[in-house]
Amino acid sequence: METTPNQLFEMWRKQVEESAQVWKRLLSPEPPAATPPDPAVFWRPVLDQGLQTWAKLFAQTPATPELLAQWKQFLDQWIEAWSKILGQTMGTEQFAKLMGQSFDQFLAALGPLRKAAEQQTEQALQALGLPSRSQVTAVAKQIVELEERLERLEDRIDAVLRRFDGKEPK
Amino acid sequence: MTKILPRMAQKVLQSSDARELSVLGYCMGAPMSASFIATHPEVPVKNYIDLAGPVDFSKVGVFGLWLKKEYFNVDRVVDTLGSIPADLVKAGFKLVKPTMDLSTSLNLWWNLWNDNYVEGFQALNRWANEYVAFPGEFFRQWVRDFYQENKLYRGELVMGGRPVRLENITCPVYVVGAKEDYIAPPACVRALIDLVGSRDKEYVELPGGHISLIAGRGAARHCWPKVSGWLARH
Repeated sequence: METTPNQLFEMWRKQVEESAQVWKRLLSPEPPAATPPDPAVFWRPVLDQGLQTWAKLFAQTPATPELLAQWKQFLDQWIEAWSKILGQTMGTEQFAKLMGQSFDQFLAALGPLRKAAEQQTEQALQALGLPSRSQVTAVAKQIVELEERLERLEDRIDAVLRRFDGKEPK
Repeated sequence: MTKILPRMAQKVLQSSDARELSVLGYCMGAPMSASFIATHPEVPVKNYIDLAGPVDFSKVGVFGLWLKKEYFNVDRVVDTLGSIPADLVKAGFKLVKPTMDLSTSLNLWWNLWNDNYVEGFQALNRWANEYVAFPGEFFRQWVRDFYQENKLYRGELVMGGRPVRLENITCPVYVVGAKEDYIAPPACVRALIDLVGSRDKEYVELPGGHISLIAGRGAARHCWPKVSGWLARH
């Protein structure tokens, strides 16, 4: 079957329109899931649909270098078009609000789990006679303070040495 | 930052035997280094370069919108997560331009037999995808003071007990924005020019995005010759 650039363009246009519907459904006012935000979620359905369309085309037409070049060109335009659509949608207050809500739900679900896990870990470490996270953090804080004291000492020694070398007025 | 940077400056001057420093800040390093220069007049800074560093966060684009107080409760995030995992930082950046990975992979596939392209891709891609975790308190201050309250631009920022006044920067300043930068759009970078007290100041807008401004073939052609030329003149 001979496929003309016009047919290819028509397929590409149809594909963008169909994908736009998928994207619209994604932004429907259903309550967002309490899962961490995954960027792939936003373009995966669109990509899958595009790949299906092109797979159909290549099944019907031999993959000549010209067709491949056209395919690359159309794909670039397709990505660019989608980048603009996504950019416009994600740059809205509605999207920001939706994302904020989704993230809040994720944190609300994670908070108690994390707290419980931390408590259990602390207890397990205590039972094993190992230092807890807070104890290690306290030691790290002491090391930083020691480092600062050493640096201050170093500065003073440098200043004294510079005086001996005559680089600095007494 | 308030403890380490002054010492770093001191050590660089000592070890290089130089009398003055040239300071270059890229991305979030730019508002931080500008704050450092503004609050440490005792450090001899010869000249300062801001590469794609946001200053007016009211013009910072989509990140500014997502991180608005109404939608993003930074205290809740930090109090729940502690530090901010690298994967979460990565997810945020990927979400700003969701088609980026797709076009990058497509172009790689298309140029798979072009050794120069593959070599360049490998060098850049690894660096561009190596995200680091944010310490919680740093993230809290970064989001609240810079993104949500725009304190640096409004002259209300305080660091290490010192008020940050960008007009205290009087050395020659060179500000570089990238035309297609969606992380630090040119308008929010350019704002530094109007705030510094320097007489000798210049803004240029170069082709490229946030990363391609400083890395890759385009950077070698557009950005670095301009920056090194400006440094040689100042």
